[in-house]
Amino acid sequence: MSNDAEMTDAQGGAEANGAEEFVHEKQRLKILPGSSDTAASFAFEKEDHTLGNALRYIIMKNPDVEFCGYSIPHPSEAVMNVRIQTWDGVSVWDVLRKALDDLCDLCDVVEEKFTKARDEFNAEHPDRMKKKGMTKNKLATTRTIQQHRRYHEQGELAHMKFWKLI
Amino acid sequence: MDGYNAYDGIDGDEAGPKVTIREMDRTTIKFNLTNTSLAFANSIRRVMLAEVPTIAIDLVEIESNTSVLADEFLAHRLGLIPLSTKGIEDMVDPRECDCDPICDRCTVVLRLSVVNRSSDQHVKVFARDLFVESVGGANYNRANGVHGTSSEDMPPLGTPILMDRDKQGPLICQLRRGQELKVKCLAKRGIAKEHAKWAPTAAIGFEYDPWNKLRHTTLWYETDPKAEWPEPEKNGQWEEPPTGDERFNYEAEPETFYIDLEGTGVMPPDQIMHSGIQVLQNKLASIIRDLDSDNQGQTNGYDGGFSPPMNGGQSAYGGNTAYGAGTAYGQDPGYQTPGFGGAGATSVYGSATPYGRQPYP
Repeated sequence: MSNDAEMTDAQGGAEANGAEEFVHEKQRLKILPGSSDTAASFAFEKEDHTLGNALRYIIMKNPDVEFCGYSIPHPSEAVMNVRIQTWDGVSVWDVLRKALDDLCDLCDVVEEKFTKARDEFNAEHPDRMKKKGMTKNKLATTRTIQQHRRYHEQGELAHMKFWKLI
Repeated sequence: MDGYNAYDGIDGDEAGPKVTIREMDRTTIKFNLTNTSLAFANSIRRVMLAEVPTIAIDLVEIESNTSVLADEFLAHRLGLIPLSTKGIEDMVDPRECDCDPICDRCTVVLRLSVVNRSSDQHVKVFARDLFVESVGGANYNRANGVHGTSSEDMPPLGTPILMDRDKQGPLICQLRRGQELKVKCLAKRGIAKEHAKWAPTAAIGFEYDPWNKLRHTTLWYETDPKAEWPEPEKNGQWEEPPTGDERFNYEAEPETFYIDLEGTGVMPPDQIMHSGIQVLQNKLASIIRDLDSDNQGQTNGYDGGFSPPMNGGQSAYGGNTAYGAGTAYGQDPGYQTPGFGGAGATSVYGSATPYGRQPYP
Protein backbone atom coordinates (compact mmCIF):
# COMPACT_ATOMS: atom_id res chain seq x y z
CA MET A 1 0.00 0.00 0.00
CA SER A 2 2.67 2.42 1.00
CA ASN A 3 4.60 1.60 -2.14
CA ASP A 4 1.58 2.41 -4.27
CA ALA A 5 1.18 5.77 -2.63
CA GLU A 6 4.84 6.54 -3.18
CA MET A 7 4.59 5.78 -6.86
CA THR A 8 1.64 8.08 -7.35
CA ASP A 9 3.54 10.86 -5.69
CA ALA A 10 6.61 10.37 -7.81
CA GLN A 11 4.59 10.49 -11.03
CA GLY A 12 2.81 13.62 -10.02
CA GLY A 13 6.11 15.26 -9.15
CA ALA A 14 7.66 14.27 -12.46
CA GLU A 15 4.83 15.90 -14.35
CA ALA A 16 5.11 19.11 -12.39
CA ASN A 17 8.82 19.25 -13.05
CA GLY A 18 8.12 19.47 -16.74
CA ALA A 19 9.38 16.06 -17.77
CA GLU A 20 6.56 15.99 -20.28
CA GLU A 21 8.36 14.01 -22.95
CA PHE A 22 8.66 11.02 -20.69
CA VAL A 23 5.21 11.27 -19.21
CA HIS A 24 3.32 11.93 -22.40
CA GLU A 25 5.16 9.85 -24.92
CA LYS A 26 3.86 6.37 -25.23
CA GLN A 27 5.95 3.33 -25.91
CA ARG A 28 6.15 3.41 -29.70
CA LEU A 29 8.12 0.22 -30.13
CA LYS A 30 6.41 -3.11 -29.69
CA ILE A 31 7.47 -6.63 -30.35
CA LEU A 32 5.06 -8.86 -32.20
CA PRO A 33 3.86 -12.23 -30.98
CA GLY A 34 5.97 -15.19 -31.95
CA SER A 35 9.29 -13.44 -31.76
CA SER A 36 12.40 -15.01 -30.33
CA ASP A 37 15.82 -13.70 -29.44
CA THR A 38 17.22 -14.28 -32.91
CA ALA A 39 14.14 -13.81 -35.08
CA ALA A 40 11.78 -11.05 -34.13
CA SER A 41 9.25 -8.69 -35.63
CA PHE A 42 8.96 -5.20 -34.25
CA ALA A 43 6.07 -2.81 -34.68
CA PHE A 44 7.01 0.86 -34.83
CA GLU A 45 4.08 3.14 -34.22
CA LYS A 46 3.87 6.41 -36.13
CA GLU A 47 6.72 5.51 -38.41
CA ASP A 48 6.78 5.06 -42.17
CA HIS A 49 9.15 4.61 -45.11
CA THR A 50 11.23 7.54 -43.88
CA LEU A 51 12.64 5.45 -41.09
CA GLY A 52 11.72 2.00 -42.39
CA ASN A 53 13.80 1.83 -45.51
CA ALA A 54 16.88 3.48 -44.02
CA LEU A 55 16.71 1.21 -40.98
CA ARG A 56 16.22 -1.87 -43.10
CA TYR A 57 19.21 -0.89 -45.19
CA ILE A 58 21.49 -0.34 -42.23
CA ILE A 59 20.39 -3.57 -40.52
CA MET A 60 21.09 -5.52 -43.69
CA LYS A 61 24.63 -4.11 -43.69
CA ASN A 62 25.28 -6.09 -40.55
CA PRO A 63 26.86 -9.45 -41.46
CA ASP A 64 25.21 -11.08 -38.45
CA VAL A 65 21.83 -10.51 -40.01
CA GLU A 66 20.29 -13.30 -42.02
CA PHE A 67 17.21 -11.37 -43.07
CA CYS A 68 15.69 -7.97 -42.56
CA GLY A 69 12.62 -6.50 -44.14
CA TYR A 70 10.04 -3.89 -43.37
CA SER A 71 6.43 -3.39 -44.30
CA ILE A 72 3.56 -1.07 -43.69
CA PRO A 73 0.72 -3.54 -43.20
CA HIS A 74 -2.07 -1.08 -43.84
CA PRO A 75 -1.88 2.40 -45.37
CA SER A 76 -4.37 3.91 -42.96
CA GLU A 77 -2.64 2.63 -39.86
CA ALA A 78 0.48 4.54 -38.84
CA VAL A 79 2.40 1.40 -38.05
CA MET A 80 5.56 0.04 -39.60
CA ASN A 81 6.81 -3.50 -39.03
CA VAL A 82 10.42 -4.59 -39.15
CA ARG A 83 11.45 -8.23 -39.24
CA ILE A 84 14.96 -9.18 -38.18
CA GLN A 85 16.51 -12.65 -38.28
CA THR A 86 20.08 -13.18 -37.21
CA TRP A 87 22.75 -15.82 -37.57
CA ASP A 88 24.53 -17.66 -34.77
CA GLY A 89 22.25 -16.65 -31.93
CA VAL A 90 23.09 -12.97 -32.15
CA SER A 91 20.45 -11.00 -30.32
CA VAL A 92 18.05 -9.01 -32.49
CA TRP A 93 18.04 -6.39 -29.75
CA ASP A 94 21.74 -5.78 -30.18
CA VAL A 95 21.33 -5.68 -33.95
CA LEU A 96 18.49 -3.18 -33.79
CA ARG A 97 20.31 -1.04 -31.30
CA LYS A 98 23.48 -1.01 -33.32
CA ALA A 99 21.54 -0.10 -36.44
CA LEU A 100 19.88 2.83 -34.69
CA ASP A 101 23.20 4.05 -33.33
CA ASP A 102 24.85 3.71 -36.74
CA LEU A 103 22.07 5.61 -38.45
CA CYS A 104 22.41 8.34 -35.86
CA ASP A 105 26.16 8.50 -36.50
CA LEU A 106 25.50 8.62 -40.23
CA CYS A 107 23.24 11.61 -39.68
CA ASP A 108 25.98 13.28 -37.65
CA VAL A 109 28.54 12.76 -40.38
CA VAL A 110 26.28 14.09 -43.12
CA GLU A 111 25.37 17.09 -41.02
CA GLU A 112 29.00 17.81 -40.30
CA LYS A 113 30.00 17.45 -43.94
CA PHE A 114 27.09 19.60 -45.02
CA THR A 115 27.98 22.36 -42.57
CA LYS A 116 31.59 22.26 -43.70
CA ALA A 117 30.63 22.42 -47.36
CA ARG A 118 28.22 25.28 -46.70
CA ASP A 119 30.82 27.30 -44.78
CA GLU A 120 33.38 26.73 -47.50
CA PHE A 121 30.90 27.81 -50.12
CA ASN A 122 30.00 30.91 -48.17
CA ALA A 123 33.69 31.75 -47.72
CA GLU A 124 34.21 31.48 -51.43
CA HIS A 125 31.12 33.51 -52.24
CA PRO A 126 31.08 36.37 -49.76
CA ASP A 127 28.41 38.12 -51.78
CA ARG A 128 26.43 34.87 -52.11
CA MET A 129 26.20 35.45 -55.80
CA LYS A 130 24.02 33.14 -57.77
CA LYS A 131 26.20 31.26 -60.15
CA LYS A 132 25.54 28.78 -62.85
CA GLY A 133 27.71 25.99 -61.52
CA MET A 134 31.11 26.82 -60.15
CA THR A 135 34.23 28.08 -61.86
CA LYS A 136 37.29 25.90 -61.97
CA ASN A 137 39.42 27.96 -59.60
CA LYS A 138 36.81 27.98 -56.94
CA LEU A 139 36.39 24.27 -57.15
CA ALA A 140 39.93 23.37 -56.15
CA THR A 141 39.29 23.10 -52.44
CA THR A 142 38.70 19.49 -51.57
CA ARG A 143 39.69 16.28 -53.13
CA THR A 144 36.07 15.38 -53.59
CA ILE A 145 35.48 18.28 -55.84
CA GLN A 146 38.67 17.67 -57.77
CA GLN A 147 37.63 14.15 -58.37
CA HIS A 148 34.30 15.30 -59.62
CA ARG A 149 36.01 17.66 -62.01
CA ARG A 150 38.18 14.87 -63.25
CA TYR A 151 35.08 12.88 -63.95
CA HIS A 152 33.69 15.88 -65.64
CA GLU A 153 36.64 16.37 -67.98
CA GLN A 154 37.03 12.70 -68.76
CA GLY A 155 33.33 12.50 -69.18
CA GLU A 156 33.22 15.21 -71.76
CA LEU A 157 36.01 13.60 -73.76
CA ALA A 158 34.44 10.19 -73.59
CA HIS A 159 31.16 11.67 -74.47
CA MET A 160 32.48 13.40 -77.55
CA LYS A 161 34.02 10.16 -78.74
CA PHE A 162 30.78 8.42 -78.09
CA TRP A 163 28.82 10.74 -80.28
CA LYS A 164 31.34 10.60 -83.10
CA LEU A 165 30.91 6.87 -83.21
CA ILE A 166 27.28 7.35 -83.96
CA MET B 1 29.26 -7.51 -34.85
CA ASP B 2 32.46 -5.61 -35.31
CA GLY B 3 34.43 -5.59 -38.49
CA TYR B 4 31.71 -4.01 -40.52
CA ASN B 5 31.02 -0.39 -41.10
CA ALA B 6 27.64 1.05 -41.70
CA TYR B 7 28.79 3.41 -44.40
CA ASP B 8 31.69 1.82 -46.18
CA GLY B 9 34.18 3.97 -44.40
CA ILE B 10 37.75 3.19 -45.34
CA ASP B 11 40.09 5.61 -43.67
CA GLY B 12 40.46 9.11 -42.40
CA ASP B 13 38.61 12.17 -43.51
CA GLU B 14 37.95 10.92 -47.01
CA ALA B 15 35.79 8.10 -45.78
CA GLY B 16 32.06 8.22 -45.52
CA PRO B 17 29.56 10.57 -47.06
CA LYS B 18 30.60 13.70 -48.94
CA VAL B 19 28.73 16.87 -49.63
CA THR B 20 29.50 19.24 -52.49
CA ILE B 21 27.53 22.43 -52.74
CA ARG B 22 26.83 23.55 -56.28
CA GLU B 23 24.69 26.64 -55.79
CA MET B 24 23.21 28.50 -52.91
CA ASP B 25 21.02 31.55 -52.56
CA ARG B 26 18.41 32.92 -50.21
CA THR B 27 15.87 30.19 -50.78
CA THR B 28 17.72 27.38 -52.52
CA ILE B 29 20.65 25.05 -52.06
CA LYS B 30 21.78 22.68 -54.74
CA PHE B 31 24.21 20.06 -53.54
CA ASN B 32 25.57 16.62 -54.26
CA LEU B 33 25.44 13.99 -51.58
CA THR B 34 27.96 11.24 -52.32
CA ASN B 35 28.84 7.90 -50.75
CA THR B 36 25.51 7.35 -49.10
CA SER B 37 22.80 4.86 -49.82
CA LEU B 38 19.59 5.54 -51.67
CA ALA B 39 17.70 4.57 -48.53
CA PHE B 40 19.40 7.18 -46.39
CA ALA B 41 19.30 9.95 -48.98
CA ASN B 42 15.60 9.29 -49.47
CA SER B 43 15.01 9.43 -45.73
CA ILE B 44 16.57 12.87 -45.64
CA ARG B 45 14.45 13.98 -48.58
CA ARG B 46 11.25 12.71 -47.00
CA VAL B 47 12.00 14.19 -43.62
CA MET B 48 12.75 17.62 -45.10
CA LEU B 49 9.56 17.53 -47.15
CA ALA B 50 7.15 16.47 -44.47
CA GLU B 51 8.52 16.56 -40.95
CA VAL B 52 10.48 19.75 -40.37
CA PRO B 53 8.50 21.88 -37.92
CA THR B 54 7.49 25.37 -39.05
CA ILE B 55 4.83 27.87 -38.05
CA ALA B 56 1.57 28.71 -39.84
CA ILE B 57 -1.77 30.27 -39.02
CA ASP B 58 -3.92 27.49 -37.65
CA LEU B 59 -6.91 29.15 -36.01
CA VAL B 60 -8.70 32.26 -37.23
CA GLU B 61 -11.16 34.26 -35.18
CA ILE B 62 -13.18 36.43 -37.50
CA GLU B 63 -14.42 39.53 -35.77
CA SER B 64 -15.78 41.13 -38.88
CA ASN B 65 -15.77 40.01 -42.47
CA THR B 66 -17.90 41.93 -44.94
CA SER B 67 -15.63 41.15 -47.87
CA VAL B 68 -16.82 39.02 -50.76
CA LEU B 69 -14.83 36.04 -49.53
CA ALA B 70 -16.39 33.50 -47.19
CA ASP B 71 -14.92 33.15 -43.69
CA GLU B 72 -13.56 29.67 -44.23
CA PHE B 73 -12.15 30.67 -47.60
CA LEU B 74 -10.26 33.49 -45.92
CA ALA B 75 -9.09 31.25 -43.10
CA HIS B 76 -7.67 28.83 -45.63
CA ARG B 77 -5.83 31.62 -47.44
CA LEU B 78 -4.45 32.95 -44.19
CA GLY B 79 -3.17 29.51 -43.27
CA LEU B 80 -1.06 29.34 -46.42
CA ILE B 81 0.80 32.59 -45.74
CA PRO B 82 4.48 31.89 -45.08
CA LEU B 83 5.59 33.05 -41.63
CA SER B 84 9.12 33.39 -40.34
CA THR B 85 10.38 30.37 -38.41
CA LYS B 86 13.19 32.14 -36.61
CA GLY B 87 13.53 30.48 -33.21
CA ILE B 88 10.95 27.80 -34.02
CA GLU B 89 13.02 25.26 -32.06
CA ASP B 90 12.08 27.06 -28.84
CA MET B 91 8.38 27.00 -29.67
CA VAL B 92 6.28 24.35 -27.96
CA ASP B 93 4.05 22.06 -29.94
CA PRO B 94 0.47 23.25 -29.28
CA ARG B 95 -0.68 19.73 -28.42
CA GLU B 96 2.07 19.33 -25.86
CA CYS B 97 1.68 22.74 -24.27
CA ASP B 98 -0.14 22.66 -20.96
CA CYS B 99 -1.55 26.17 -21.16
CA ASP B 100 -5.32 26.53 -21.20
CA PRO B 101 -6.36 28.01 -24.49
CA ILE B 102 -3.13 29.60 -25.70
CA CYS B 103 0.12 31.00 -24.37
CA ASP B 104 3.21 32.74 -25.64
CA ARG B 105 5.17 29.52 -25.71
CA CYS B 106 2.94 27.78 -28.24
CA THR B 107 1.10 30.51 -30.14
CA VAL B 108 1.88 33.68 -32.06
CA VAL B 109 -1.09 36.03 -32.41
CA LEU B 110 -1.39 38.02 -35.61
CA ARG B 111 -4.01 40.69 -36.22
CA LEU B 112 -5.42 41.97 -39.45
CA SER B 113 -7.66 45.01 -39.50
CA VAL B 114 -8.47 46.69 -42.80
CA VAL B 115 -11.46 48.83 -43.85
CA ASN B 116 -12.29 50.53 -47.11
CA ARG B 117 -14.23 53.54 -45.87
CA SER B 118 -14.50 55.82 -48.85
CA SER B 119 -12.41 54.71 -51.79
CA ASP B 120 -13.96 53.68 -55.08
CA GLN B 121 -10.78 51.79 -55.78
CA HIS B 122 -10.45 48.36 -54.26
CA VAL B 123 -8.28 48.23 -51.19
CA LYS B 124 -5.90 45.33 -51.48
CA VAL B 125 -5.12 43.42 -48.31
CA PHE B 126 -1.65 41.92 -48.31
CA ALA B 127 0.24 39.67 -45.90
CA ARG B 128 2.26 42.70 -44.81
CA ASP B 129 -0.92 44.04 -43.18
CA LEU B 130 -0.75 41.22 -40.64
CA PHE B 131 0.82 42.40 -37.41
CA VAL B 132 2.33 40.19 -34.78
CA GLU B 133 0.66 40.96 -31.50
CA SER B 134 2.73 38.77 -29.26
CA VAL B 135 5.97 37.01 -29.79
CA GLY B 136 6.75 34.77 -26.91
CA GLY B 137 9.34 36.84 -25.18
CA ALA B 138 12.79 37.97 -26.16
CA ASN B 139 14.23 34.52 -25.77
CA TYR B 140 13.03 33.58 -29.26
CA ASN B 141 15.49 36.00 -30.76
CA ARG B 142 18.53 34.60 -29.07
CA ALA B 143 21.44 33.73 -31.29
CA ASN B 144 21.97 30.04 -31.85
CA GLY B 145 25.38 29.08 -33.07
CA VAL B 146 24.32 25.58 -34.02
CA HIS B 147 22.19 26.41 -36.98
CA GLY B 148 24.60 28.86 -38.54
CA THR B 149 24.41 32.51 -39.08
CA SER B 150 22.04 32.57 -42.00
CA SER B 151 18.87 32.33 -39.92
CA GLU B 152 19.93 35.51 -38.14
CA ASP B 153 18.77 37.47 -41.14
CA MET B 154 15.21 36.29 -40.65
CA PRO B 155 12.49 38.51 -39.17
CA PRO B 156 11.12 37.53 -35.74
CA LEU B 157 9.01 34.40 -35.29
CA GLY B 158 5.60 34.55 -36.93
CA THR B 159 6.22 37.63 -39.06
CA PRO B 160 4.93 37.23 -42.63
CA ILE B 161 7.70 36.60 -45.16
CA LEU B 162 7.68 39.29 -47.85
CA MET B 163 9.79 38.21 -50.78
CA ASP B 164 8.45 40.38 -53.61
CA ARG B 165 10.02 43.62 -54.73
CA ASP B 166 7.43 45.86 -53.06
CA LYS B 167 7.55 43.88 -49.81
CA GLN B 168 3.81 43.29 -49.82
CA GLY B 169 3.63 39.55 -49.54
CA PRO B 170 0.77 37.46 -50.87
CA LEU B 171 -2.57 39.14 -51.62
CA ILE B 172 -5.21 38.00 -49.14
CA CYS B 173 -8.32 39.73 -50.51
CA GLN B 174 -9.68 43.02 -51.91
CA LEU B 175 -12.22 45.29 -50.25
CA ARG B 176 -14.83 47.49 -51.97
CA ARG B 177 -16.14 50.66 -50.41
CA GLY B 178 -17.72 49.91 -47.06
CA GLN B 179 -16.21 46.46 -46.69
CA GLU B 180 -14.20 45.52 -43.65
CA LEU B 181 -11.92 42.74 -42.58
CA LYS B 182 -11.02 42.30 -38.93
CA VAL B 183 -9.39 39.06 -37.97
CA LYS B 184 -7.37 37.53 -35.16
CA CYS B 185 -5.08 34.75 -36.26
CA LEU B 186 -3.40 32.16 -34.04
CA ALA B 187 -0.23 30.81 -35.59
CA LYS B 188 1.02 27.47 -34.31
CA ARG B 189 3.84 25.11 -34.82
CA GLY B 190 3.25 22.05 -36.97
CA ILE B 191 4.64 19.76 -39.64
CA ALA B 192 3.74 19.28 -43.30
CA LYS B 193 2.65 15.71 -42.67
CA GLU B 194 -0.43 17.20 -41.03
CA HIS B 195 -1.02 20.03 -43.48
CA ALA B 196 1.05 21.26 -46.41
CA LYS B 197 0.91 24.81 -45.10
CA TRP B 198 3.63 23.82 -42.66
CA ALA B 199 6.00 22.72 -45.43
CA PRO B 200 9.36 24.52 -45.29
CA THR B 201 10.12 23.45 -48.85
CA ALA B 202 8.57 24.49 -52.12
CA ALA B 203 10.17 21.52 -53.85
CA ILE B 204 13.03 19.11 -53.51
CA GLY B 205 14.73 17.90 -56.64
CA PHE B 206 16.20 14.46 -56.12
CA GLU B 207 18.13 12.75 -58.87
CA TYR B 208 20.65 9.98 -59.10
CA ASP B 209 22.32 8.18 -61.98
CA PRO B 210 21.58 10.88 -64.59
CA TRP B 211 22.81 8.66 -67.42
CA ASN B 212 20.57 5.79 -66.35
CA LYS B 213 23.50 3.40 -66.18
CA LEU B 214 21.78 1.45 -63.43
CA ARG B 215 18.69 1.07 -65.62
CA HIS B 216 16.35 1.97 -62.81
CA THR B 217 14.14 3.55 -65.43
CA THR B 218 13.17 2.50 -68.90
CA LEU B 219 13.31 5.23 -71.50
CA TRP B 220 10.38 5.19 -73.84
CA TYR B 221 11.38 5.55 -77.48
CA GLU B 222 10.14 5.21 -81.01
CA THR B 223 13.30 4.13 -82.79
CA ASP B 224 16.36 5.21 -80.79
CA PRO B 225 16.29 6.39 -77.17
CA LYS B 226 19.72 8.07 -77.46
CA ALA B 227 18.56 10.27 -80.30
CA GLU B 228 15.14 11.04 -78.87
CA TRP B 229 15.98 11.81 -75.25
CA PRO B 230 17.87 14.97 -74.26
CA GLU B 231 21.16 14.66 -72.45
CA PRO B 232 21.06 15.14 -68.70
CA GLU B 233 22.22 18.73 -68.92
CA LYS B 234 23.08 19.66 -65.38
CA ASN B 235 23.65 16.65 -63.22
CA GLY B 236 24.98 14.58 -66.11
CA GLN B 237 28.06 16.78 -66.12
CA TRP B 238 29.13 15.34 -62.79
CA GLU B 239 29.31 11.78 -64.00
CA GLU B 240 30.95 10.01 -66.86
CA PRO B 241 28.55 9.29 -69.67
CA PRO B 242 28.30 5.71 -70.79
CA THR B 243 30.68 4.76 -73.56
CA GLY B 244 28.13 2.52 -75.11
CA ASP B 245 30.25 -0.62 -75.26
CA GLU B 246 30.54 -1.28 -71.53
CA ARG B 247 28.73 -4.17 -69.95
CA PHE B 248 25.77 -3.61 -67.73
CA ASN B 249 26.96 -3.70 -64.15
CA TYR B 250 24.05 -5.26 -62.35
CA GLU B 251 25.82 -4.96 -59.01
CA ALA B 252 26.24 -1.19 -59.15
CA GLU B 253 24.28 0.88 -56.66
CA PRO B 254 23.42 4.55 -56.70
CA GLU B 255 25.82 6.57 -54.59
CA THR B 256 25.66 10.16 -55.75
CA PHE B 257 22.48 12.13 -55.21
CA TYR B 258 21.80 15.50 -56.79
CA ILE B 259 19.56 17.39 -54.43
CA ASP B 260 17.95 20.73 -55.29
CA LEU B 261 16.52 21.95 -52.03
CA GLU B 262 14.14 24.78 -52.67
CA GLY B 263 12.66 26.52 -49.63
CA THR B 264 9.60 28.74 -49.40
CA GLY B 265 11.57 31.51 -47.69
CA VAL B 266 10.15 30.58 -44.32
CA MET B 267 13.46 29.05 -43.25
CA PRO B 268 16.93 29.36 -44.77
CA PRO B 269 17.60 26.30 -46.93
CA ASP B 270 20.62 25.17 -44.93
CA GLN B 271 18.53 25.20 -41.81
CA ILE B 272 15.93 23.01 -43.50
CA MET B 273 18.68 20.46 -44.00
CA HIS B 274 19.88 20.75 -40.41
CA SER B 275 16.39 20.53 -38.97
CA GLY B 276 15.62 17.58 -41.21
CA ILE B 277 18.61 15.64 -39.94
CA GLN B 278 17.71 16.61 -36.41
CA VAL B 279 14.17 15.30 -36.83
CA LEU B 280 15.53 12.05 -38.19
CA GLN B 281 17.89 11.74 -35.24
CA ASN B 282 15.09 12.47 -32.81
CA LYS B 283 13.14 9.59 -34.32
CA LEU B 284 16.10 7.29 -33.78
CA ALA B 285 16.69 8.59 -30.28
CA SER B 286 13.11 7.98 -29.22
CA ILE B 287 13.28 4.40 -30.44
CA ILE B 288 16.58 3.85 -28.67
CA ARG B 289 14.90 5.13 -25.54
CA ASP B 290 12.02 2.71 -25.99
CA LEU B 291 14.51 -0.06 -26.58
CA ASP B 292 16.31 0.81 -23.37
CA SER B 293 13.14 0.78 -21.35
CA ASP B 294 12.41 -2.62 -22.86
CA ASN B 295 15.74 -4.02 -21.88
CA GLN B 296 15.38 -2.78 -18.36
CA GLY B 297 12.76 -5.43 -17.93
CA GLN B 298 9.63 -3.35 -18.13
CA THR B 299 6.93 -5.44 -19.61
CA ASN B 300 4.99 -2.76 -21.38
CA GLY B 301 6.67 -3.58 -24.67
CA TYR B 302 5.67 -7.19 -24.59
CA ASP B 303 1.98 -7.20 -24.12
CA GLY B 304 1.39 -8.58 -27.51
CA GLY B 305 1.39 -6.25 -30.46
CA PHE B 306 -1.52 -4.02 -31.19
CA SER B 307 -5.07 -4.65 -32.36
CA PRO B 308 -6.43 -7.14 -31.57
CA PRO B 309 -4.49 -7.62 -28.35
CA MET B 310 -3.32 -11.02 -27.22
CA ASN B 311 -5.90 -12.52 -24.94
CA GLY B 312 -5.56 -12.45 -21.23
CA GLY B 313 -2.28 -11.94 -19.46
CA GLN B 314 -0.54 -14.27 -21.85
CA SER B 315 2.81 -12.80 -22.85
CA ALA B 316 3.66 -12.64 -26.48
CA TYR B 317 6.34 -15.18 -25.89
CA GLY B 318 4.17 -17.65 -24.12
CA GLY B 319 6.77 -17.99 -21.39
CA ASN B 320 7.43 -16.14 -18.22
CA THR B 321 10.50 -14.19 -19.29
CA ALA B 322 10.56 -11.84 -22.19
CA TYR B 323 12.82 -13.81 -24.43
CA GLY B 324 14.11 -16.49 -22.18
CA ALA B 325 14.43 -20.17 -22.71
CA GLY B 326 10.84 -21.00 -22.00
CA THR B 327 9.27 -19.37 -25.01
CA ALA B 328 6.94 -21.27 -27.20
CA TYR B 329 9.07 -20.22 -30.10
CA GLY B 330 12.35 -21.32 -28.65
CA GLN B 331 12.17 -24.93 -29.75
CA ASP B 332 12.03 -24.02 -33.39
CA PRO B 333 14.88 -21.65 -34.10
CA GLY B 334 14.99 -22.23 -37.83
CA TYR B 335 11.48 -21.05 -38.35
CA GLN B 336 11.12 -18.38 -41.00
CA THR B 337 8.61 -15.60 -41.57
CA PRO B 338 5.66 -16.19 -39.30
CA GLY B 339 3.14 -14.38 -41.44
CA PHE B 340 3.41 -16.76 -44.33
CA GLY B 341 4.24 -19.98 -42.63
CA GLY B 342 0.81 -21.54 -42.45
CA ALA B 343 -0.47 -22.85 -45.74
CA GLY B 344 -3.63 -21.32 -47.10
CA ALA B 345 -6.49 -22.31 -44.87
CA THR B 346 -4.99 -21.91 -41.42
CA SER B 347 -4.68 -18.39 -40.14
CA VAL B 348 -1.37 -17.23 -38.82
CA TYR B 349 -2.92 -16.77 -35.43
CA GLY B 350 -5.05 -19.87 -35.64
CA SER B 351 -4.69 -23.03 -33.63
CA ALA B 352 -2.25 -24.59 -36.05
CA THR B 353 0.48 -22.02 -35.62
CA PRO B 354 3.80 -23.23 -34.37
CA TYR B 355 4.15 -20.49 -31.80
CA GLY B 356 0.81 -19.08 -30.71
CA ARG B 357 -0.28 -21.83 -28.41
CA GLN B 358 -3.01 -19.61 -27.25
CA PRO B 359 -5.00 -18.84 -30.40
CA TYR B 360 -6.99 -15.71 -30.86
CA PRO B 361 -10.52 -15.88 -29.53
